[in-house]
Formats: sequence, structure tokens, C-alpha cells
Amino acid sequence: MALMVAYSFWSVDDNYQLIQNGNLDQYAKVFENPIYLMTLLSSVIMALLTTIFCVILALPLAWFISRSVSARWRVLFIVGLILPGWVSLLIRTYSMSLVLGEEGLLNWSLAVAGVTESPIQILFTKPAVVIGLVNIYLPYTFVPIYAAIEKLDDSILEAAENLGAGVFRRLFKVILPLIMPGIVAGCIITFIPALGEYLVPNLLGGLQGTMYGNLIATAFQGYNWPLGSALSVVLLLAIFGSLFLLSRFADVSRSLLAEQ
Amino acid sequence: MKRSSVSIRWLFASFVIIVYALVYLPIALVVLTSFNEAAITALPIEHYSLKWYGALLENTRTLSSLWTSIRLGALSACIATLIGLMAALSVVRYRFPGRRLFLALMTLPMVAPGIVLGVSLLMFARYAGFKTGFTALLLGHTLLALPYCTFIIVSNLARFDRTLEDAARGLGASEPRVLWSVTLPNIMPGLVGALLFGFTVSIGEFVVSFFLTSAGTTTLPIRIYSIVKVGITPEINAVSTLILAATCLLTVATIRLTWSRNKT
Repeated sequence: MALMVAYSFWSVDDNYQLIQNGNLDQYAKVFENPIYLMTLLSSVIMALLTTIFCVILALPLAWFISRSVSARWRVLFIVGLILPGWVSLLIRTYSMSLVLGEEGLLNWSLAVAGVTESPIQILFTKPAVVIGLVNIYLPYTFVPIYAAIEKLDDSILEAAENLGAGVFRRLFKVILPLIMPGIVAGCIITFIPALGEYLVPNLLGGLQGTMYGNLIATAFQGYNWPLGSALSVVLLLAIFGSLFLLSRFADVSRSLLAEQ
Repeated sequence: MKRSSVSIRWLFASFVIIVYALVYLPIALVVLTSFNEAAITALPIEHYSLKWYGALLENTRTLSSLWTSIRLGALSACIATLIGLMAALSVVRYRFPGRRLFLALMTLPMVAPGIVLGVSLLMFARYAGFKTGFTALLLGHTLLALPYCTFIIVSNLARFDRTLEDAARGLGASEPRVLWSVTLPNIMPGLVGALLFGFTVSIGEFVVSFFLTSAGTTTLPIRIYSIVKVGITPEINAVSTLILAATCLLTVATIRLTWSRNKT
């Protein structure tokens, strides 16, 4: 089984070399044409924004559920949040366009409330893609963060409080450093799929919100497999690179928080 | 949190409610508009009807793609569960070198971007000499469902008391018999959970299928996509509502099966 997974990735390179006789023409194309790199950059930014928003939403959510909800209801809350994560991505994505579209719920309610006169254009823009991504990946961010908060020992918090630490001191010096591994895991699990997302920008992004995944698909649909492969390899490298950066950053921030 | 005032709690609570509302709002909209009699997918809804569900029953192309999806889901879930069972048995029972690496590699289909997985499977299929279509789809979906199936079974197997097996052996049962009459019945919830979950993964999968379909074999998500690309219709919302209901039922069943043992 592991062989099959390895194989499927190996064949990217292999096929690429098979046709290209091992030269780097395709990679040169990727790096010379500004469109590819610009799209990669904007994809990274969109994925980062998604991750940040997800964490901002997931943190208080997880805190509330693990501390203020009784054990009986907790399962219901958690399942309620995770359940959409298992629902077909396609349905969830296109359902977003029902909200964001020109005749969608958002514009309808804005019009009813008298805020806007003509519908605002949100669908087929970058914000639409980010909103869609946040909506879809929130369960993914939530789970590791929740697990970390759930494990947090109350007695440590009480100790900090008894020693005279204020709310903010407790939050930044005690809670955040302790749940940092959970936050990092949540970021990783959100950022990676968001960066390689194809469907969401395809349905919600239009031309303006094109992400890198769409370029790969276009290359493959145009039967330019070598180019598509080169693009895919660059994407994988970008993912590994950002993973590396993220883990470095997390370590740095943890030691910073601990040393202060 | 002891000293936190009531108002902060309410702030928290309303925040939570808003987030849940945002998560469920789009889905609710799909369900609601599928009952709208008018052919527009927007609010307000004037008349509720089941008209679009009726129209769905007459749409042979959508129905045939539904049938493909069901067959594909059932088959890939079975294969993935079977391979997952073997993988889980070997990982839980034997300490072989590279065990952790094996598990890490296993999660690859879970974390790799769907698009990369899709195109690499397409290349693999071409390389290995089979055509896109049902077989390629089956391969892809099995691969996708495999990590989930394996981990569900692994968690079940880890909780299973192995002394029961020793007892059976002591009573003279042969190895296959131990597996069949002792081990398998005991991890049954995990197996059923893996089957259901594999099916859920397969039925909702789009990106990987997108690259592996052929003109003759379309899965339901592919069919939905091809319609949604042009414009969202109430009929598609009706299909989606049915899928949503099925997925929710399957997932809840899986969770009940895999968690029930945990609690008792």
C-alpha cells in the first residue's frame, strides 16, 4: 500500500523525465513566466489568510466548548462542527455561492436591510475564495486545537492565578505556550490543503481568484503533462518549504514565549 | 475561568452560535431552496414543493451517475477496509522496522493536495496501462479511503484484549479460526465503521475523480459539478440534499460505532 502511494508520486517525476529526457525546460518555464509565480504567491497569501482566520475562530470556540459546555453536550457540539467536514466538498463549495452570489443570501439581506442599493460583487473575487476556504477548513483547524485545550491542566491555570498573573499574562505566558503544538498542528492541517485547493477557487474565485491548483489542472487538461508535473512538484516543494518554515516559526515563538 | 463574569460567558456563547450559523448557513440554503417551487435558487421562498425531487427521478443521466457513485463507493470501501484490516493487523501486532514511516506514508492521501493526487493517479494509470474510467476511479477512491479505514481499525484493534486470543489458542483453535471467531467479531464495530466511512469518503470525492473519469463513467459529484458550472438549479440542490442526508446518517453511524466501545 505504501508502495502504491510512493509509486503514484514517483510516477510524476518518472513520467516527466520520460518525456523530457531529464532536462529542466519545464521548470525554467515555471520560473520565467511571472504568471505562475505570481499565482503561487497569491495562493500562499490566500492560504495564510485562511489559516489565520481559522485559528482566530477556532481558538475561542475550542476554549468555550471545552470549558463551558457540560460533558453531555460537548460531544454534540464537537460532532456538529466536524460533521460538515465530512460532507462533500463540492456541495459545501457551491453552497457558498448561494450565499455570496449576486442574488445570494448576503446581497439579499443587505438589500432588505437597505444597506446597499445594487448587489455587491463578492463571488468570483479573492475574498470569496478566502471566505469559502475558512468555511470549509474550520473543522480541520478546530480538532487539534480543541485536543490541546482539552488536555490543558486546570491546576496550572489556578497556580498562575494564585501567583498573581492577570488574565492577559495567563493567556500569553501560560495558555498559549502550552497549546502551541495544537495550534501549529491546526495551522498545518489547514494550510496544506488550502494551498493546493482546486475546487474552491474554481467555483468561487472566477478569473480573479485563481489559485495555483487551477494552473496545474489547466496544464493537464491542455495535455501539457510535463508542465503540469513541474508545476505539481513546485507546489509540493512549496508545501514542504512552508511546513518547514512553520515548524521553525513555532519553535521560535515557543522559546520566545518561554524565555520572556 | 472561575472569576469570569456572566457577560463574558454570553459573549463567548453568542460567538459560538454565530460560528455554527456561518458553517451551516450555506448548507441550509441548499436544503431550503431544493424545496422551492420556483426555478430560482434564492430567497425568499414562496411555495414549498417536492417538484424537484420528482424531476430528479426522471433524470436518467443523474440517476446513472448516482448508481456509478454507489457501486464505486461500496467496492472501494470494501477493498479499502480489507487492505486496512491487513495493514492494521501488521502494524498493531508486529514491531517491524519502518513501522512509524509506514503509518506516516499512509496518511499521505489525507494531507496531499487533491489536485496533485489526482494528476499523479492519472499519470500512474496511464503509465500502468489502464484507461481512465471505473477501474481508475476505483483505484483512486480506494487509495483515498484507505488511511481513514486503517486508522479506524487500528484504534479498534489497539483496544482489543489480546489475552482472548491466547485463551482461544489454548483451547485448541487454529490461527485462522482465532482470527475468524475471536478477533474479527471483537473488532466488528471498527470494521463496519471503516466500511461506512470509506463509502462516505468515496461518495463525496470530487477532485481526484475529476481527473480519472471517462466520458462513459461519471460519478455524482462530477455530474453535479458539470451542472453547477453552468448554473445552480433547484434540482441539483435536491440531489445535494439527498447526499447531505446520506452523509450525515453514515457519519453519525460511524461515530456511534467507533465511539460506543470507548465509553463503556
